[in-house]
Amino acid sequence: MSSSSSPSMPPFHLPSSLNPFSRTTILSYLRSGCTPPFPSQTLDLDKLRSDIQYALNFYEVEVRLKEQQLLALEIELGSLLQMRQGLRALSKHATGLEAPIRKLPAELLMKIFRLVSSKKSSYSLHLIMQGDMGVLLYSSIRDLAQTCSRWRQVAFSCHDLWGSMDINLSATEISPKVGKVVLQHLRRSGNAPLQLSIQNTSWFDLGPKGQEVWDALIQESRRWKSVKLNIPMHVLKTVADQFKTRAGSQQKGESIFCTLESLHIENLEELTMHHRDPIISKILQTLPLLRSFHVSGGRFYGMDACTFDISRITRLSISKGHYEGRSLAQLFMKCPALTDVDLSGFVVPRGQSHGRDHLSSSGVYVHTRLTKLTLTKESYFDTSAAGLRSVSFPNLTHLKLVDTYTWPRDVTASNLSTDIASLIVRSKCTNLRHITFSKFHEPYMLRVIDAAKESLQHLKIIHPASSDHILMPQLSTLFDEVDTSSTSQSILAPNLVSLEVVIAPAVAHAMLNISLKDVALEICDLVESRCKMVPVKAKPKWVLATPFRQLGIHLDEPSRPRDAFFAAIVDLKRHHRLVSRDHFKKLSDEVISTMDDPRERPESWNFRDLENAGFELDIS
Amino acid sequence: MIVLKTSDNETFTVERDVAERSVLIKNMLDDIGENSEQAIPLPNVNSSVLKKVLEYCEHHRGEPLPAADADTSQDDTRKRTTDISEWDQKFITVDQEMLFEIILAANYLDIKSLLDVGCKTVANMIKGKTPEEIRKLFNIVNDFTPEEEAQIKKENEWAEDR
Repeated sequence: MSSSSSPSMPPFHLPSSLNPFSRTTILSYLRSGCTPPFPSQTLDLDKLRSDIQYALNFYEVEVRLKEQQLLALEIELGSLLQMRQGLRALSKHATGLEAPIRKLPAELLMKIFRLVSSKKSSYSLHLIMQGDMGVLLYSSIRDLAQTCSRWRQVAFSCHDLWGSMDINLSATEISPKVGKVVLQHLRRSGNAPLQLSIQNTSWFDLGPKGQEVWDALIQESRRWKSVKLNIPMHVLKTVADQFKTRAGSQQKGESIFCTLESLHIENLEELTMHHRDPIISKILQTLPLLRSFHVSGGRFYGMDACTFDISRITRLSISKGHYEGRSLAQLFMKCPALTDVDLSGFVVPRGQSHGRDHLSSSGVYVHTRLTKLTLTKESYFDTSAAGLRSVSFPNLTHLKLVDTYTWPRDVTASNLSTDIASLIVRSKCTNLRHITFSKFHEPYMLRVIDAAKESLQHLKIIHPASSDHILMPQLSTLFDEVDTSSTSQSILAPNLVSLEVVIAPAVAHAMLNISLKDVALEICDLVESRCKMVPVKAKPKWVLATPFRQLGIHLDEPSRPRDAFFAAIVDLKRHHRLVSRDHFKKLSDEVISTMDDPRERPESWNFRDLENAGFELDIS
Repeated sequence: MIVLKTSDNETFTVERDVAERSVLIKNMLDDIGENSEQAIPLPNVNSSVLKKVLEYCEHHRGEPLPAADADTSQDDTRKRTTDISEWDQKFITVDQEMLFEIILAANYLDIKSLLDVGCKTVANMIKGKTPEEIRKLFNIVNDFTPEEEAQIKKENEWAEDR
């Protein structure tokens, strides 16, 4: 059996002066806890004790020696560990120096930093409220500057990125240290122009921290290039006074907002309810370089009657509310440089007649600079001679019409589409190539398209009202009309190059109740009708002979219909149904009859040929 | 046809309209005239990278070249989106070594659209990542001095009192 030494007496080997028998006897006494009874045994016990003492001394010396060796080894190990750590760091640095990204020169890193900062918004710093009490701070340029010392240097040299901030002043009250981050950004922006979005979600006046940030921003007012204000109206009123007061305190003729080019004021609603003070006029007077002006959320009035110069403004947007004035002609006369206008309503106040100065003999003001016009039926558009009937835009290139599905939808949308159609005809818009409809009903769309049919090339339909006709069937009649030899008057948009349809989630869900293949077949019909292919000898052997070459169908949100829709389209493509046999036969007969060499007659052309010839079908 | 000579002495013969996607080559060709048969030396581009660059130029041949001053405004640069077309995305799906070589080559050869695709790809890789994640992604060493570390710690203090 294996040894079973007592746990209280660890095995050890002693240089013993006792004979083994006496030693065993003495040890057994010791193990049992009894004192040896005989004097000779007591003597043996003393000898054993002496032996033990001797051994103990011996091992003490041994242990001390080993401890010294251990200490030396520990010191050596520490030094080795330190060396290893140093070498690893050196190796990491060496590998880091070899990192491919280090090859990029500073200007390319800057370009990348700008792209990182602009990916989702035009601001580099976002200080926003999450719910009632949470604060979210995100700064892409700050993160980049905390990556390594080189990136830090490069980031610090991109002053414009530090000066681009979206700030909610209320957040500085909840989390006071975030105010310091904003001030730090402001310092690091150097002398670069500032691009700001300033909000104050609290109804109350600014707290001390918010005020500190606001004061610091105002201190740099000379660098404001673009600002968006979304603050309660009573705070805006104070701001307007500050604009005026501080502007007045400057040298004569010099504004403290001397570089501000774009001003966007949101949340105007309260202005019309509680204040009659012309706040906006106060602000506008202090902005000599203003080019873009956007107000939203309420009634905005009197711009056509203001006494100061607003003739430099090139972009005007009055959204989520309406404009009030004597006539639209007066407004456009006041702003002859306008190229881009967005209006969501126009009302002539009672008792105000529209001026007819500078109008043409027909009573219409011809504005030649305007190229982009967006009209949103948020409110009412005056249908009298002071409204759209008072203006003409011969150089219009882009038109966007937005309905809002609100009452009274039919009358107003109908009137608006009639007025727009007559505006297009009256203006003789030969360059009106882009038209976008949002939430518009088909008959009203058709009215406008018909007016612009000769010039229209790019049509976009956002959120068609129903799933029945995702694509307007009238667009699928190009060749039918030609074949029936009807007059060109009846062809809808013969020069159409692209059609894009964006389907709202509600309509997409409704599509589940109809056959998605029907929608896909509508696509087939449209493509077949609009696209004509002719053969060529070179590869690819077919070329598109008609202008239509882009069709985009987009579902607004990822959803079940999207997957089902994709499946239907893929299925159609797989079976080459996208160009139907009947239509192909008709077209290919037509083509074959024109070919010289019958041996070169192609078998067919299908969707792949269309794609090879440059046609794009984008469904996403 | 145009002959291009890379840093590793390989030659590529390409059609003129493909080569002229590069403003550098276009200017060289304008300078040396129509009939020169000399190979154009490209000492900063090796053959594997030039092969990729020419693949891009071939695919985009015939497309209008961006205006020379299109990148001058910082605002314009910032407003540009980081969307990349499907083909370009596939084309630029390469390892980091090649990605940065393509960017450098596009910069040297002055092919603005390719440079944009490369930079946008890197921007998309960076977006939404913490500094530590960025370091890991690109094998960048944290080489801040203790003073800089202290400053960065101070910059991040706001997060403690949220």
